[in-house]
Amino acid sequence: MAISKDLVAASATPIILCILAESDSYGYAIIRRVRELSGAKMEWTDGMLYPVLHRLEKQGFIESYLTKSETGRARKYYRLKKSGIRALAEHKSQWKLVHNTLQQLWEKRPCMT
Amino acid sequence: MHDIDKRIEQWRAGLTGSEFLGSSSVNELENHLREEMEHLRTSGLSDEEAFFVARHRLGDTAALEEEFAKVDPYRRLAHRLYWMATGILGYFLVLHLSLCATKVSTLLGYMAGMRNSYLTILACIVQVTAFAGIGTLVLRHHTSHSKSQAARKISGSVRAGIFVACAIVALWWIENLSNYFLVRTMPIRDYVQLSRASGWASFGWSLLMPFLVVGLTAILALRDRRRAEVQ
Repeated sequence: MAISKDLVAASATPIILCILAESDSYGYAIIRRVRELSGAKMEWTDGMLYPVLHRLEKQGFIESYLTKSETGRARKYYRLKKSGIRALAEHKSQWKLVHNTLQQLWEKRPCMT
Repeated sequence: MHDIDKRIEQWRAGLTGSEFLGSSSVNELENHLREEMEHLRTSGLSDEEAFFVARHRLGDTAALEEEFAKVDPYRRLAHRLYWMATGILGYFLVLHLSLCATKVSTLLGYMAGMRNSYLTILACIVQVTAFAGIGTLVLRHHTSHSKSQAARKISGSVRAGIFVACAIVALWWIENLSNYFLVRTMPIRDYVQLSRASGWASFGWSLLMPFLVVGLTAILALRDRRRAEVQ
């Protein structure tokens, strides 16, 4: 089952914020985590993650810092900021609302499975 | 391994040319590419295959550029304004270059003893030559422009803009000095001949100009698309 582009785009921000709430991370690791959590069913175009990260950084929800990777190359890590935690809480309540609404509708019409 | 590094370098060069991707973003994307390649190699893929799959997963250059452009809308607006200004400056440069070439060539023709319809033919030949010359120059410049990463940066563009503005002023002076010289020294009958020749040349130019603009735009767009496909 392929997830539509619109849904992938809409869910990108809360997913990234949630992953960063677990621990600081970097682009490649975030992509791997998404693949792992979705059972490889949620396929992002890898490169598209970075503009979202940069936008979140610009909005002040996350911040970045450089460390050296095992290969010696500089690696850019992202860390969730306090405003990012608040934004994540807001996203959670919005997604829960959407989920509950759909859940109620689907329960009323059990034939649509 | 050497070949793969070369291919990564080529891929990187394609990204570095973008107005919206800074070196930090390109480094980040390269790290991602290398890590994904490493992961794919452990799954049994060859260097070449790993590079191909990792590059494909990262997305094509044009799409990446489009997404990175959305991060900073003001920069995107500035980029568009810059191209509008380039278009306007470019138009005036071409216009003055054409007028200047016509004036100077007909004047030289007149001084060499040419009269009446010969002057008109000379002016028209100059116009066609200018038409072909400008087209060739733009296409050649575009090729070197695509190859050179630094040339696409704003600082380089500003220098180019100043150069073009200076060229327009210089051409305008040449045109007006030629006119001044003609009015002061030439018998009115001969001046009428020269004006007629210039008039025909301008008419020819106005017919050719739309073809030049449409043709060049189509060729440049096609080249950009091919370049994006290759990367």
